[in-house]
Amino acid sequence: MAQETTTLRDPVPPLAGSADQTLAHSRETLTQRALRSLLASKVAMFSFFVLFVLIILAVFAPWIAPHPPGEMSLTNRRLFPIFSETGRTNPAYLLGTDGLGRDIVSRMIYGARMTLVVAFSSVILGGFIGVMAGLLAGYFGKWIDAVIMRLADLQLAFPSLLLGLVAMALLGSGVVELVIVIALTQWAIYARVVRSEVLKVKELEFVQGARALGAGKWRIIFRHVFPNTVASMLVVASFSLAMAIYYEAALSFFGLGVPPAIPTWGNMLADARDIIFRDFYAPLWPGVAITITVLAFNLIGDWIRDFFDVRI
Amino acid sequence: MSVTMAPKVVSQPELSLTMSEANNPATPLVSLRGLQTRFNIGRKYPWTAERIVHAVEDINLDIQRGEILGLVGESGSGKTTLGRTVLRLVEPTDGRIVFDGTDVTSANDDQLRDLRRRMQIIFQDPYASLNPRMTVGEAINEAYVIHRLHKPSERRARIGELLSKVGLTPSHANRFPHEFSGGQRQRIGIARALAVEPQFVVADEPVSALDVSIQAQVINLLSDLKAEFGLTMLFISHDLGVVEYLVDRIAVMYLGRLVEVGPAADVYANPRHPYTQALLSAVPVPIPGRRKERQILQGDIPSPISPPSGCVFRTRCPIAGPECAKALPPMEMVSPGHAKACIKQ
Repeated sequence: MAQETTTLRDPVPPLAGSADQTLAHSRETLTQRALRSLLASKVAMFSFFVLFVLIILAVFAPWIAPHPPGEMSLTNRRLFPIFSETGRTNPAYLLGTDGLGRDIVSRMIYGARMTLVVAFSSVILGGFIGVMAGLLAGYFGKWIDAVIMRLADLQLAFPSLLLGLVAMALLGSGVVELVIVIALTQWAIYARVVRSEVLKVKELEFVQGARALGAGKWRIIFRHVFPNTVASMLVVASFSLAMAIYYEAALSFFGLGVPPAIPTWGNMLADARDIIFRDFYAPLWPGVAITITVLAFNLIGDWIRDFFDVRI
Repeated sequence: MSVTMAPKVVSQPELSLTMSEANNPATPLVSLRGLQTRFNIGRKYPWTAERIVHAVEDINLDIQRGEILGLVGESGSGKTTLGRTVLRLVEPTDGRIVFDGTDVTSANDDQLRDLRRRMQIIFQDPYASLNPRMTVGEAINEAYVIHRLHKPSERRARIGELLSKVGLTPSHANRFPHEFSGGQRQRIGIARALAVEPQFVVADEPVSALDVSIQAQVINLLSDLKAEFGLTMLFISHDLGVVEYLVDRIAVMYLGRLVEVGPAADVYANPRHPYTQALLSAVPVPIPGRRKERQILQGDIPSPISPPSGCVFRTRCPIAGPECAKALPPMEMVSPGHAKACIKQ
């Protein structure tokens, strides 16, 4: 409605006050709009809160954690959380200790650090590869498109966890290797989504306009096409973060991810595997942490999709 | 006002222009010879033939310096494709385009970039023709950056000047396209096209997406700018009523081919092709109570994948006879500068 009335008032000559003629509701910047939408969605607020807490824990781990993550106390092995009524508790260890007497809370906090580092780096790497592949395939088409998209199909057709296991077994376990392997399992999703966006955007008239203006293909790809695919890319990235956390945990659980000496949620799960029938709580905490984090990233993805009105 | 007509339909007519003819006011600014654009849209089934869309077929047309040539025809007649082919936004499959003595058809990337500073396009849809992620200032500035026009320190002022010229204010440069109405966006599109100070502009239905009240404003703006910049313009429209006020000459297109070309006044007063007559009779008369004989065309425009034999208009023509199916009607002069492709009229 507002649009129509403004159209009718479209000024003929340059008017002094014509700055006021533009659509009033759209004076909000993107950031203001995002904030307002965020405040309206409790689920998204919760998810960002979780993300915020995780980042704080990860960044300030050495100051927040009550014990060093590797510190073993042989007298305090396999303690239960302090709310347990078994008596095997110690107020110094809030959530108890593992089989080697290491503080679960501290390991969880340090685990958040490694989990986020691995998740974000692999999403950035996988996203970069996938977005580039998608831009090239979508814009240039023909054989470039055929080659890239068949590779992506191959990637997606292959069970990625199996691929991850094989690749980690071949590369050896390590944080960098893990990041590369997770990135490789993720790129194809970006490539597909970005390619389909490019196919849509490149037919729009403003891309023709840029060509008519004499813009070269790289300028068109990066200045005109790419910015208009960012919204979909963000949606994929948030789901991809959730997947990366999941893969990190899974591969670490199998002993093929982060080296066992470094605490991650996956490693903690793997350690808990042996004592799961004696100690119910051991796998619970890392499991809950993984679940909540993956859920939060998925919900953030949902919110971004709603906010930008992206259709995937 | 010369219309160069091939006496009969030939696929590759002779055209030899030398560089000395560039900037010569006597030569046309844009010459199209035997221009053809076809799209291969592939096979429907593996065992059927490839389908080829005959979007633009054998166009011979000159656009004189400083004139506005109106290109009219209904949806699907190939107007937009022709306009884009002239700028090589769409690659022609045959024929030649000569712009100010330079062969556009064979231009390489560098030559093409230079040509694109001199010929520009204004698009139909003001909502799709601006990048939603670029401010108005950035969009115009891009033209300066690509062609290295003006010192970077002067560009801001230039953008402000340009926006004032099209009826906006310099402060609009910091805003995004979604903050503007359709008419304002179209002005931005015009400003962007004029940023490089082109000699030739293809206006591809620049007002058909706008409200009627805004149409007149944009038409007036184009008319003013044409006078100020000495523009030559190819004005594409499906609305003869809109074209009437603006253009010097009219070219009527049907199913990829020109059917009538002539001075605007002449064509309006004395349309010679039955298709032009039908189009003109469909223009509403703005006088209440007055009705005119309407000649309503039956059916739809045929598929450009398999155009009719002979005269392409014969399937809907009220006066078509069996002879129309035999051969393509040649362009015949009916008066100086006025030609039509119909053997019956």
